[in-house]
Amino acid sequence: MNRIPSEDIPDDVLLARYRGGPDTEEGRRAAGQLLGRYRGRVYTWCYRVVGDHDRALDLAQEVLLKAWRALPGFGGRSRVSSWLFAIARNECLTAVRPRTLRVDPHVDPVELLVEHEDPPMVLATREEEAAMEALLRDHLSPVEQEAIWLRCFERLPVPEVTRLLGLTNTSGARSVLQSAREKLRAVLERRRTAP
Amino acid sequence: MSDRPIDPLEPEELAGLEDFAPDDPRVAARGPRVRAQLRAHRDFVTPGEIPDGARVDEAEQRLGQLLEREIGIPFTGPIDPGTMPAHPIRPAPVRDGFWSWLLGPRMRPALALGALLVVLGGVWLVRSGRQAQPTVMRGTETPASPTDLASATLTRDDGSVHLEWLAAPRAASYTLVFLSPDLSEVARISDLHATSLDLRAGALPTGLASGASVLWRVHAMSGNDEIARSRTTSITVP
Repeated sequence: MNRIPSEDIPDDVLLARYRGGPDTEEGRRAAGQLLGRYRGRVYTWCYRVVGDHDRALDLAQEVLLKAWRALPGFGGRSRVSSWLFAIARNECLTAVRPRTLRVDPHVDPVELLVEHEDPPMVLATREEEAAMEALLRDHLSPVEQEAIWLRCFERLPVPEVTRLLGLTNTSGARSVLQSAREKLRAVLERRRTAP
Repeated sequence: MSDRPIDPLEPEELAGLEDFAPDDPRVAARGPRVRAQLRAHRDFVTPGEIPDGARVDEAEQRLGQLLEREIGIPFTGPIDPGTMPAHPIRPAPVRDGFWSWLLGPRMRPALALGALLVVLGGVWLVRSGRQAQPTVMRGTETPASPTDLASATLTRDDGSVHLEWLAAPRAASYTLVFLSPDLSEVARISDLHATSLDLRAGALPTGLASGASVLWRVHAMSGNDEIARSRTTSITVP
């Protein structure tokens, strides 16, 4: 039987080995390989969000610790990469915005997007996000929708949004975001003047 | 006013979509939230160029030490393959003497010709080897083809499991292989012409047992040649 180099062993196989004996040496080694192969990517993602080495390293440590502690309960319903990304993404978002958000039910979500640079500070619930999604879909181009989402909800800096969307124009995502906000401002105006 | 926790991303929200491009029609219908998060996930898995100021080498070392301490196993893991593109950022090593001459601009055409001959020789060897003996696929073999066939798994509300993959150019048929966690083959379905298959309790292929955890992958075939294969992913048999 040919042995597969450890870096080529699929995540699912390492996960299965871990589950086969979480407390055995082989199980722990599999867990170490599984989490270790993502450590650079976890750090890189954290760095993209916070833009600071020490802070990104702290966050990455927290992500890997959480993942290690949660590994026994990981059901395998998604890929390991998706699971780790969710942990990293949630950890970074928690780090860059307050743990709880002030939600005012009387504020129009559109107004928040147009008037505030930081709408997620006040938009938190899934229902509000669903309403926002519908709004973006109805009024913005696909690129504008994603740009707004990545900037406002995934909290990525503008240069990262530019890179992720593969924008090559000189102003990058900045002009796309500006155009999106102008369209949303027009929607808001129409709502305000509607009888 | 009320205080509410932030809205977390559940990994299951991306499950089954990871292999699709954000502008794939099957993803586009999901809306900006999923598209943006899928795009971010792809960037997480394949980060590309490392941002200025990031110190990936140092971070990998420190995080490796952390894992070693927490898990209690000496950590000898390789560099995170996803961040390998970062490493060309390091300054190029200074060369002198023989190496400087060999790797210098004057010798590059000769080196390129040599590399081409090696590749052609390798292709010839592989082809002649394939003609000499029939293709045999075993779950424990090192992949002979690139894992470039996008596949997805979806568990439906009725409990059935939907396996789907993208059509591969030049593929005449597809072969589904199911493996146990120890990588031995438990079932195989050959000569499929569709690009999806539903697994339902009571109508399972021989070798699959309800409730079992198995791994699956799909091979795109052209005659007896495998031209592409998907990643190996796990499912629970309905």
